[in-house]
Amino acid sequence: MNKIFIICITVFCLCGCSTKFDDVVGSTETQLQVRGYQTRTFETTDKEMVMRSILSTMQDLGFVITRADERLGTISGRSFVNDAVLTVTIRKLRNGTILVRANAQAGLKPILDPIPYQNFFNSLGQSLFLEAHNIN
Amino acid sequence: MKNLLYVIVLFVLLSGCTSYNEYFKLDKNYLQRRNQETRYIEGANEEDMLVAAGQVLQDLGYMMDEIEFDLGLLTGFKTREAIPKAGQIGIIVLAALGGTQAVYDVSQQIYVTIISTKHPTRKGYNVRVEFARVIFNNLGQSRAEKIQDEKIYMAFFDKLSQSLFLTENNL
Repeated sequence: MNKIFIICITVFCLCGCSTKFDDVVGSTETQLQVRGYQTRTFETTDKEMVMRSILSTMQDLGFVITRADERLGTISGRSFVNDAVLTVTIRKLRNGTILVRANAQAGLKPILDPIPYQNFFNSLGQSLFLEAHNIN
Repeated sequence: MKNLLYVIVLFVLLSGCTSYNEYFKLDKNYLQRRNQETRYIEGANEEDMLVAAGQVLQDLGYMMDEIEFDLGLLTGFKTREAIPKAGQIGIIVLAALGGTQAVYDVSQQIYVTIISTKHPTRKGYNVRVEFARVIFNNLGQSRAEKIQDEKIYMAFFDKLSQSLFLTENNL
């Protein structure tokens, strides 16, 4: 019984410990898997309109925008609703679509669950619809 | 001993099980909030409007942080004292009487984001402003909140109207 207790304590102490390598360049998923759920494409060539919609969506979601650059197509913000930070990149593809990629961190951990990204892209889809139909 | 073991095993199993399912989801009041934070401004061009908005931020003591004219974006911040409210003063007094450490707010960092968007059909621009703050207590802990008091937004837009007039007249 005592042995089990010691094993449990050891597991408890070790869980969550990661090496410096994991923290700096490590990943639990392949690059392709991560990109899969962090990325959506939109059937438009208007990069500025998509960027403005992202700003609007992030405000709807309670983010405060901290950085944005139109030329590089990046927007970063901090959520005051969930304790999270989000960076969104926007790229114009050669096939005439816009690729939007988001990555987020909550507290000290990266968000590796696809659902919040789905939520974000659903919210963005709604915002693009509102803007296309001229609703404030 | 056995109970303690169960608790530890349960804790180990549950650690790391944070759910992010509700993250980045629009709530039912987001359109109402969007309306509260947005005003349509007739007549000014985007550059004049962002200059006037920047002047308001300076009037209010904000430091400019990020400016991206191509996206109509302006952000700023300021750090101020967080004056203890009546309730907090009560907590301090009670803690002093009880010999325990009182927890009270000490300072706050206030953030503002302004975004202008060309109205799709009319000649003017929609200006949207958003305030949020991080409050720090005497133990160095912080909490973040969005500021949603309608009066604050109305006061900001009043000041923006005034600023547009003053900026147009080179004042």
